[in-house]
Amino acid sequence: MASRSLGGLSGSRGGGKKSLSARNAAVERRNLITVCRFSVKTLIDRSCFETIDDSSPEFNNFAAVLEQILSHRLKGQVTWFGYESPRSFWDYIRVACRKVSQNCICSIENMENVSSSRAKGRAWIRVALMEKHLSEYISTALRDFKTTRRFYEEGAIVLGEEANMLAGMLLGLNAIDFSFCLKGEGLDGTFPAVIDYTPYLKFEQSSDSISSDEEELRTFGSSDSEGSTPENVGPPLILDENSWFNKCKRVRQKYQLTLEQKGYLEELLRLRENQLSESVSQNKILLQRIEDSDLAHKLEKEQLEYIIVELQDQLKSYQSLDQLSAEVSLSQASLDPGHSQEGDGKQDSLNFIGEGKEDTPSLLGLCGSLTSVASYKSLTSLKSNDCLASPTTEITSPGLTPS
Amino acid sequence: MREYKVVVLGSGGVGKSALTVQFVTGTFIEKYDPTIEDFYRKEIEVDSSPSVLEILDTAGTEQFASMRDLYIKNGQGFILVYSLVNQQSFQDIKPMRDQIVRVKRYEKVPLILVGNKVDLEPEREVMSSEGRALAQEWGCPFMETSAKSKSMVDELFAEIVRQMNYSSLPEKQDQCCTTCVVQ
Repeated sequence: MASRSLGGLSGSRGGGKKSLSARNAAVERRNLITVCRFSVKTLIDRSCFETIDDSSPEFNNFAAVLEQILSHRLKGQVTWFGYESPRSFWDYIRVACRKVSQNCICSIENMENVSSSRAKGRAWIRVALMEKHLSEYISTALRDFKTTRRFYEEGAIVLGEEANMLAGMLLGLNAIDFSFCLKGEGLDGTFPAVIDYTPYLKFEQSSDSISSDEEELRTFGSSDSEGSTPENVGPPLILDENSWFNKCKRVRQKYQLTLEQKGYLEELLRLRENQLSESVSQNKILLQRIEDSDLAHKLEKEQLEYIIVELQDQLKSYQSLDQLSAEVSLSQASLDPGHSQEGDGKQDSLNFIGEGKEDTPSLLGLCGSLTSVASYKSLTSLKSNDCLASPTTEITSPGLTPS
Repeated sequence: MREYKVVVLGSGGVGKSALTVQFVTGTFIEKYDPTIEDFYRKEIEVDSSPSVLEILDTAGTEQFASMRDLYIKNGQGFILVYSLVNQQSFQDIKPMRDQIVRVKRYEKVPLILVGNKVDLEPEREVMSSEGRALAQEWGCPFMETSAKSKSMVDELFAEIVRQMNYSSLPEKQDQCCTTCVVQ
């Protein structure tokens, strides 16, 4: 639309200044070529990550740009009555590209669902891209200077010096696998080719592409040169700018670089703060573990000390048991005088019986208090003494006395 | 005027765009911005003969490697750039020459081997003798340039024009390639 509006302006001026008209034409040509370059780059960049088909806005923009370039200052066809009827770029392409080997010109010409000349031209753009021959078609057409001059007026893009770069610009598109449907209604020639300029006011690589580049640079270890004064030099076709605008642009670039560095440093600071807080929390956890370990250690120590004390008490108990055994043997020794008294006679035996009754409660108490085997033996000896009290035992006791 | 299609090849970050832009516009690009492809056109006079150079500045990163065959097929002369401060970029340059010979099916394609960033001498990783030896092996000129200090930049593009001129005369080319190694 930009080209049409500019044409309209120059038409309405009629007898306007030639210099202004020439400048408008030059700006128009440079704008179209530059936008074509950007749209090609965008397509190549996008094609690395997505399939390019009819729904791709990048492709539709490129097709519109190419159509505008090929339609720029296209001559109309003069009829018998001298009336000039409009033409489409397809009329030029089908003549100029006849000599391309294995061309699709006849196929496009014979398509039935595509009727208008403009629609055929659009179909040709798509087929040429799928064939990966668009650059070849364009370069062949532009080399046919006579045909080109016959179809285009003076000042057309395809007749100018810019056209020499067009084929080179389009060469990269041969590396892309396009996927288009030619049977739908998308090829209708009624609607005009509208270029959306907004994505190209500033070219930016997609984030995927940038990250891929950066990863590859890290992998291959390529060094890059960056300085404090960045300068983005445009292509040779860039418009001349006054010094103030250039200074403002440079200052803006410096500001942008500084802003990027500030953002990077802030992000780095945030990262370091996160690391610091994480370290502090880990430190607290470790200190807590130390305290818990220390407490457990103390508890274990106390338990061990208690066990030691208990063992010592058991040891003392064992020693007192030995003393009790000694007492038991003493009590046995005290029983021997009883036996000697039995040899004196009946009265002595009666006294012995009486003495036996007196000794029994104390012995029984001793048995109750002690649980050792020694006390049990003394009880057994006591029972044998009780048996000696019978008359038969009197006969036996004199026998024992002599021994 | 004769037109020459020159393709600048090399791995990422060696300074292909900086060299090209320095030659075309006389300015140095400080900030690194990976190239997808850029197309430049400049008139140049070599040995009193005016010529037009169409220079294709290519993508060095691997994700656009599929387009390299296209560029090579379309190009007439080739400038192979590595960085003196990056040994890997020198290793990467050898398969690119093999690719050119394979696509062109011709051993004596007009070619110049270029070691860029000569202004960073303290950080040099690739000796001049290594570059010179490789250039002799290939039978092509060798130059060490600096896009930053504009050292040998114009001479580089003038030399590639001469190389393409010589290649149009096959008999003369053999003699020229063996003797005109620039040091």
